[in-house]
Amino acid sequence: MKGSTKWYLQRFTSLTLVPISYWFVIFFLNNLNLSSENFINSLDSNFVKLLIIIFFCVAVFHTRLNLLTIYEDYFNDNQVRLYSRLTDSVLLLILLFILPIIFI
Amino acid sequence: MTTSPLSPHLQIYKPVLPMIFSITNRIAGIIFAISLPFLALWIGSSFYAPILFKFISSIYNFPLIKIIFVLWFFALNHHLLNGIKYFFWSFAKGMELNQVYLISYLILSVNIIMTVFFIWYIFV
Repeated sequence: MKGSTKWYLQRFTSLTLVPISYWFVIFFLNNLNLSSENFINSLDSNFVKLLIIIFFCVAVFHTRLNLLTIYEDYFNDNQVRLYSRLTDSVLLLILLFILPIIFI
Repeated sequence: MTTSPLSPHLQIYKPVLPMIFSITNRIAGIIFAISLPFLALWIGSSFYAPILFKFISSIYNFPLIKIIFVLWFFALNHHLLNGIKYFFWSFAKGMELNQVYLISYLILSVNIIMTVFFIWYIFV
């Protein structure tokens, strides 16, 4: 990826994440002590589902971009390759876990 | 993948406020990245496995874990507020030394106030 593209993507994802993260914190606080039926009911709105999916997709992308930058700053090439593969697998699992909420 | 030199290690620098905010911003980002799978597990399990959801939500409502969530929010908020600062820095705004210090103290105060609200909301 070109350095400038990465720079723009980092700014764009962080700007998107600021408001949506505060929304997510409020969602988290409101739903922390709900039972699973009530929790699924609170997810039963396209707006909430959309925000959760945007939050996780953009957060995963932002995490990937910036963790790789951190790895490149502090580790050697072999470590960077290993850690970035590990990161990618965990981030993929997160998406696999979150995306099916579309079907609720 | 990269041929650029590694960053010098932190302990060679004399700590100053902007540098502390810079490194804690990275650490806070990493903390939030680590929390992402746990949040995904909480939301995803409500759909996949209600029993797992019940288990996770009883853990998340445990007072000791709530204290971890308070620290989590403090780190997240630090990262978000600093992120806004760095966004303005990208356009060379707010980079005068006195502004840098003022904004850093402002970020810390706003963060403490918001964390107090978070504590109030999560425990009451």
